[in-house]
Amino acid sequence: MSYPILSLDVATNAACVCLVNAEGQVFTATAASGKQHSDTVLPLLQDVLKQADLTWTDLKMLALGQGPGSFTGLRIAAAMLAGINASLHLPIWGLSSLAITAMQTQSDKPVWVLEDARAGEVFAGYYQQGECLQGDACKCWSEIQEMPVGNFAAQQEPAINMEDWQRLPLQIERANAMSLLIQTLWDKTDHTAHTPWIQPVYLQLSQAEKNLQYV
Amino acid sequence: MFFMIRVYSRCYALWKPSLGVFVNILAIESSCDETAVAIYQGDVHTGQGSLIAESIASQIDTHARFGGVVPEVASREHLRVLPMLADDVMADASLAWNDIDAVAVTSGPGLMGALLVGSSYARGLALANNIPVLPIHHMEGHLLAPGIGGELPAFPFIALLVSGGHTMLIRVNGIGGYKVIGQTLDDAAGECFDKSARVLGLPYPGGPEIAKLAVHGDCKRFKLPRPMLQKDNLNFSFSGLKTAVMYAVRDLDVLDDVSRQDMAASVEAAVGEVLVKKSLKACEQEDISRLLIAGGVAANKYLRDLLNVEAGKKGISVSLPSPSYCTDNAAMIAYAAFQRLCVKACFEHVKDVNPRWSLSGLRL
Repeated sequence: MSYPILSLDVATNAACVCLVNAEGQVFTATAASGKQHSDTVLPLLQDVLKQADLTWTDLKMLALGQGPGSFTGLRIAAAMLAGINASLHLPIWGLSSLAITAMQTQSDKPVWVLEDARAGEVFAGYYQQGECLQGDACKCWSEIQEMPVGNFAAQQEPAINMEDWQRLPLQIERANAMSLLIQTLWDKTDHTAHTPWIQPVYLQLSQAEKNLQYV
Repeated sequence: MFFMIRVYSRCYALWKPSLGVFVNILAIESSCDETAVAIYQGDVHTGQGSLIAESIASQIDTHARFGGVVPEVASREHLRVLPMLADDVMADASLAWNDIDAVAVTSGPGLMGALLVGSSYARGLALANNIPVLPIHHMEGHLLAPGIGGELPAFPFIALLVSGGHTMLIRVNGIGGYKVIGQTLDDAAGECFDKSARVLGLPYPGGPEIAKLAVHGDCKRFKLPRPMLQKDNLNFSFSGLKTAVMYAVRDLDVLDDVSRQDMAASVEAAVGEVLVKKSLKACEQEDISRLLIAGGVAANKYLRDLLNVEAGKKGISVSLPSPSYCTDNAAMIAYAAFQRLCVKACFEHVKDVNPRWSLSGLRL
């Protein structure tokens, strides 16, 4: 397993792509915020390949912002990478989309990433310099209210009052944070475990499945 | 790969792919609750071709516990199985990815999230292999399905497209020339079967369950309405019929097995009679003696038999797809793409997917 590695994240409202080549050079592309669809993602992929002067067959690995996040965005990214990989058969590395956000803060301190998951729920993960201190989970916002205050980061506004918490600003672009996460975790990851297609990490059931649970 | 793009006055961006004469088309269907992949191989000059591999993964069991299709669950399931399905079909066809000349994909109408899975996969596949994506209208696929392994009737013909989501009569003037001349004003015929089945306590999907019970039932026991038959148009309405079933069942002392069978037969007879009479009326109105039936409900044996008998009396020939190509499948998507290539038709530049894509809006 080695570079170049191309990575795609569509968990937030702005799709982003990064490519790290064998020399450690990083190439990035980010869509304007707004609609998530394959028409905005395709040019980003082509753009980074062109910047790096590589073709699809030069790639050695793919990576995916696996979630949690927007269900539709996660599926677009996972389906598109699966389509690209149908003929390439490269390993696909799943990255936590919350870990990417934590990396955007550029902070040395531990940070909770808290993204509103609607219906009173929140996607939460606890990170420090790329290291996962507490795995991603879907919690109730009320659980967050009962936790000791600390640092947090988020793409969206939290659904509860978090005045007592310290909100860390997102210092760098998401695509750059993704490349840093890849480089930080590279030696600590078992790359033999990757498969040619991976599923999004939703962390939430569909509403219909939730309804069945309550019957 | 070169693409000719033409922008027509009505803002439809249409384009024609530049492909060779002999083509391998890989098709993907994911508009509702079936994930399907197929490969059609053919010669666009002669129009001769054949289906060389296909695979379908049905989600019926997944959705049965909800009593209907749940869009979010359907989308997740499509993504779970699609990559494996595509690999399997390629292996069955003994083709390499660089043998594929184009990817046809259902781009609408259908469930937005479900369509996006197939479309995104297709676009990724096409991007990495430098081949075009051919967006195909799901209904056009159904309309042309009888041509897979058989022959389409000569143009023009009347098509009855009847499924769980659609009930419409179409005048088909040629590939890409479709005029909707009648459609349901509320529920689709398949929806009426599903809802009636639910009233009878039968599992989802209702159509096959109703058909199974109806074989042993008395279709004259319950007097159900034949909606819209007296209207001087080709439209349908099935929501009243479903309500009539509900009231009739409510008025029963006991809903026993015999009553279930009789009600199933009565519903099947009512829906069948309306569909057949309206279809024959459409043939008469348009002065066309060729009728084609397609869509999931077209697999219903009672409907097929009734249509054959009644159309025969009027000298109308009926084309029926194999029951396996009545329900959603990717073979029909591949075949529709092939037919479009054969007649050098344009493909619409669909931005991602179009869940409400109009059939009448298609062009040659």
